[in-house]
Amino acid sequence: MVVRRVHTTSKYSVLLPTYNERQNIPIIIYLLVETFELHKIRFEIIVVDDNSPDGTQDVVKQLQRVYGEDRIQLRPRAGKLGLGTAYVHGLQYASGDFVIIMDADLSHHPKYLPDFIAKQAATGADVVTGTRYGPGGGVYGWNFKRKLISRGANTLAATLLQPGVSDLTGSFRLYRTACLEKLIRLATSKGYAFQMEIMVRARSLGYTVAEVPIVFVDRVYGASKLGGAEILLYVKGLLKLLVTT
Amino acid sequence: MLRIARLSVTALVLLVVWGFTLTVAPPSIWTLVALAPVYLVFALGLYLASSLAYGVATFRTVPEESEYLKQDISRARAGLARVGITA
Repeated sequence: MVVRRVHTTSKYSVLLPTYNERQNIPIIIYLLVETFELHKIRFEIIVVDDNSPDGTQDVVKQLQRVYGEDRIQLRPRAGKLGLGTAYVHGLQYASGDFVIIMDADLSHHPKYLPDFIAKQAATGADVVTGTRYGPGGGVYGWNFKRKLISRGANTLAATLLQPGVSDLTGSFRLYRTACLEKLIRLATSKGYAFQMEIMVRARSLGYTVAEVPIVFVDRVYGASKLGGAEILLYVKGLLKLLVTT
Repeated sequence: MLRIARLSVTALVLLVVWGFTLTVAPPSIWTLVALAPVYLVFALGLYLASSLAYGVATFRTVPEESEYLKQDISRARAGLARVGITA
């Protein structure tokens, strides 16, 4: 396989909020380290763990001994306090020029990070977001109903908010650090609307956004994370953004 | 200007234009003009439905990525085991 190296002198901070990711966290950290080292990219990984009872923090400490505490940070919290505050907490310790947010459960593959970095370098964008909907994007593990809901939510939001971005609810993104620091303090939505609010506010502030195609692999078969309550929360978030942005 | 303000101004302008048109429209097209808002809502609904249908039809399912991920997980586990970490 031919690898096109990404050339950058910037440093990248990866924020990984975790809760009960004992099985996945060593694998994603291994793949992240492998990807960054292959492209000779300066990086740090910041694990924000919400007091997982399954030993997530213990395995992160083992990984710190292997890869170095300068490259793997563990910044725990007392309990499950929400995604937005996890980002705020992790950002305090980020020393990178850019911050990458992604899920820790391997649904977002580190192999796309060179594409994000290259896209940012080529366009000078403040934000690069992964899109499941554009050419080259996609999913695995979703049935028709789940795809319909996802597409429906994005179609409705795109029509009402006109963000100029195809995937509003995705959470695999690269931000200029200063931009994310500003955005995270403005966002108050919960659930899926949180990621949408960050993107809409980014556009309102005049930040430039680029997209790269990604494939989201859902490995949590049979465990629905999208009930009626989540959908209602999303609609409320959408209406709030319509009125406040 | 906030989005809701822009939408409200647009709606107000359309309402005024519609109201004025109703007062000057000849009887032959008066019903058509009177029903224009209904047609507009219907057209918007049709646009949303067709956007959604197209979006779902082009939303790819990529089974090979699941296979690639499984291979990467196996490789990562082997690499981690070499440094004494079980995953």
